[in-house]
Amino acid sequence: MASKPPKLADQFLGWFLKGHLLEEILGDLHEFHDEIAHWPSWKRIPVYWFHAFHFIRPNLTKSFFGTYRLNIIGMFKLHLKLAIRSLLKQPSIAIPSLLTLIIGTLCFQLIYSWFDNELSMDDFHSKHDRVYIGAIQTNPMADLSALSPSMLFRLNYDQFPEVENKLSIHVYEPDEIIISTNGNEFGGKGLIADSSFFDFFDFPIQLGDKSKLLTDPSHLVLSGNFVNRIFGETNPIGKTLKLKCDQEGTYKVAAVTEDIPNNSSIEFDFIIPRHSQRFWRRIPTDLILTSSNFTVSELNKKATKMGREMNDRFPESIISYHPINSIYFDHTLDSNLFDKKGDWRTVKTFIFIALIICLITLLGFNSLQSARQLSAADKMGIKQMVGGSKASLCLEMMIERGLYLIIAAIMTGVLYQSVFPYYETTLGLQLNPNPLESTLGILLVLSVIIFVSVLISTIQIYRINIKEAVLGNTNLFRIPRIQKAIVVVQYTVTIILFIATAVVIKQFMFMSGKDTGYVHKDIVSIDFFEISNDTLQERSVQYVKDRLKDNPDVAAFSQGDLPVNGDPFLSSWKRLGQSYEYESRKVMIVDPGYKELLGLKILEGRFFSDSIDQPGQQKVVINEAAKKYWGIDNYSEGKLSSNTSGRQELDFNIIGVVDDFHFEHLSNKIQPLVLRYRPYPDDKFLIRFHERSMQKGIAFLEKLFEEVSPNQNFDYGLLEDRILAQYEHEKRQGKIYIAFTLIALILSSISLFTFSLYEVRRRTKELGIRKVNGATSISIFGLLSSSFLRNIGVAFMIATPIAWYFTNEWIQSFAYRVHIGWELFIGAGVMAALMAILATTWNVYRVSMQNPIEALRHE
Amino acid sequence: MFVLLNRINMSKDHIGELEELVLLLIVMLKEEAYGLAIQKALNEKANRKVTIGAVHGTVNRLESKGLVESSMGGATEERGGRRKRIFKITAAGKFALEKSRDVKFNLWQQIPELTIK
Repeated sequence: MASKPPKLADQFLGWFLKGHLLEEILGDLHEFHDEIAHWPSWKRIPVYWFHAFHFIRPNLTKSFFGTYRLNIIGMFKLHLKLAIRSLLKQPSIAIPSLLTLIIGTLCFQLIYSWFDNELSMDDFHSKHDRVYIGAIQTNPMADLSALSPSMLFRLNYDQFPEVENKLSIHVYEPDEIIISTNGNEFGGKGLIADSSFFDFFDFPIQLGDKSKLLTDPSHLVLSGNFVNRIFGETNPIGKTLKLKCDQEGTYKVAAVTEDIPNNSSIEFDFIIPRHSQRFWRRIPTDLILTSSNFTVSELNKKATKMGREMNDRFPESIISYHPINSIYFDHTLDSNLFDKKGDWRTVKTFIFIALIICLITLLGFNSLQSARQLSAADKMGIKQMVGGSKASLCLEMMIERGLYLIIAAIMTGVLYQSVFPYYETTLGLQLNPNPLESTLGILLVLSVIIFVSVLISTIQIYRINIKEAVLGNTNLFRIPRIQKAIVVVQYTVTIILFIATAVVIKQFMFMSGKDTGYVHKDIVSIDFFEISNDTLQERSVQYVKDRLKDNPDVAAFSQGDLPVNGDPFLSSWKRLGQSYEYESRKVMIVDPGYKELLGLKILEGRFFSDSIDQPGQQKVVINEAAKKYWGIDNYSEGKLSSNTSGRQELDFNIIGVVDDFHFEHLSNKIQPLVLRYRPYPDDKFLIRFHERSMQKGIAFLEKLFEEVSPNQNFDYGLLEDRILAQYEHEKRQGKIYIAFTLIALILSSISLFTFSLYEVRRRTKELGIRKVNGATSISIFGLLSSSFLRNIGVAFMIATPIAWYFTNEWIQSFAYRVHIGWELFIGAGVMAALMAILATTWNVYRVSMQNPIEALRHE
Repeated sequence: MFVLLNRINMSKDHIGELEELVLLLIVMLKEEAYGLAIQKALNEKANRKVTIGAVHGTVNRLESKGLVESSMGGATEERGGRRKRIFKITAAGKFALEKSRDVKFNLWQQIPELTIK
């Protein structure tokens, strides 16, 4: 049997081995094969292949890309050497290129880490897309509220086949429940939940028994963060805690969850089994776990129908269910179960900025690298003349870019880790630091940028004409034009960001300085009493009032709501005698001192008065906006009606009209407002002190507080702080814009600097000739500067209308807005021009001062 | 790293252990000193099992160092008509072998006999 050696192995060697060695090698292999020909083929063929493979070694294999001397490995080594050399020898390209890559990628990754956190909100619950939250409306016009349909409408979820599991949670405000252990008291956010809580949500348990969470009524579950606060390092399992709110009880710690992840919109310090008490004061929220195939509109219809049957008090009521997935960005349903709320507009702005930064980085890096290619055109021409192929030029370029990739990736990675904590605190964000993911992200962004630049450079290399390159006039006029365009685009984007920043800041300053229509200085809000209803307290309220009245530092005081977002609440109102339905309108609870406190102006009628009015009477004061809204000509003839309190409708007399004041964020127009005199004894006090007696006043308050509420924590807030806090969002946005505008400016200036460097280098001879012919240094300086400024001028022309369009859109969302004047645009243009002059001056100055002899000798 | 490796391999007056063996076998095999024969001789006489590729790599390296020279032999029947490349040691090769032997001999001389036993 004459077996033959495998043909493929021979072919394979033919591809890779040097041609002049092939004959003897194949000869040796075949001779070897003859010796093992009697072996079975399963053994013979692998052995043959094994020997064939061992010929693939540096000094036997073919060289790469036609160059005669070097094989693949040697070629790689050579290119690496050349690349390192060129990086070191041309710092004017290498340093700006690396800076551009690092700054751009770092920014992108920082922004990405934020919106990744936003978009992955609550994703870690495995059933998050099947959990729905129940909401009710008492009539079609009323706002959605996340109150339990099963409690208020006695819905029985067992009758709905699509509901697999149900969960009711009483959500208490932070610090409303006090936990005490060994005499120490801790406030925290508590949830009172059914034992199905952990079927709905996957908060991992780090300590304790996972199987029977919240089933034993004497057990409770703590969160990791809270355990650190109250127990420190000691093991909390089995410890007893006392709980105090509207109920009291003693509980044993049964389990501890891991720290609550930053991308969880639900936060809690402890969870208490709902069945441990018969009654909880807060109305619960309903959550249902649905089966995978169901339509939410069908469920809503069924639940609404059943709800109206079960509770005939609200014949127009509507029950609906909302996926918890969408709650983070969609704010139509407001539930205090969810502590964090996202802002879709901010996310979009962020994504937009991230893309812009990416674009600027990409353009900047490419323009720098094209400048380098251009300056190396003659070198490439010579290489080709001595036999280098275009492919080998490309390989050289790719290896150089690879080197950029590696250096930039390492530096960005290190910088990212060190900048991250600072970034988090400055912007007041909480993010999950994810080292692996961020490193991958950085690598990905860098790879994309490098890949695009490699593509562009490859095209450039293949287009170069050898002869012209060596003669020194390769495409000299084409490449700068592309670069010019890139600089223009970069500056356009920068100027747009500039204008946007200016508008955001101007709007913010406008809002924080705008007249709110009331006095807000020197006002302190303080909560003297805990919630309880005993008569003893009513006496001490009177005592507090008397003491405040007697104090000479107190200018005015009142028990009522703060004129900031969140305090005025919605209830149903309509003008009496009109046929239309009730609507939700804002109400504030005040007392007669309120007018004096905020310095409100009464336009018609009178404000509440101690001598005439009693708390709880059916009298209201409305604001000017409400008067216009309901079309009331004479306040004494108009009457309002409300159906909020209890089942019957109540009629209210209007006793006065107060001038409009901003009781909410300035992005809202002043809404109709109803003021009622109905404070509870335990409502917070608002106290205005005389100017400059704030210090004394607060010391007095502290003593008074100690008297009426001994052993409680003295705490107060300033109205001014609360008002400023409302504009925290705009302030943060302003900060973000400033940061990213600066970054865009730096990136663009780096490109312009290099562009001017090469432009000046290219024109050195021309400028020398100009000088010989009598041009002065100043005229040369002017000539060059104006040629760069012309680019900025073009960028400005493109940027202005775009920026105007976007800022105008943005500012429309505010009811009271600043005028976007032309001076903003001119200012941004001048700033960009100044930066451009700064970036080019050094290069231009050097060449304009040069001795023309030197210039003519150049090259 | 690469540069360093290059230095070591490329220096002409030093030869590695496998290189020395191959050189010696080329001298021994005379007219039959081609790749496969050297590989077999390495196995039989020096008890070294290497692949044919390794032998080819070594002789090529020796040739680039100028320690051996080669010529193509006549066409043969059993190799599908392919010729063999026959290697011959050069003067530089002989010198390198002698130098290697002398260095070792010198070192051996300096060791008192007792310590080895």
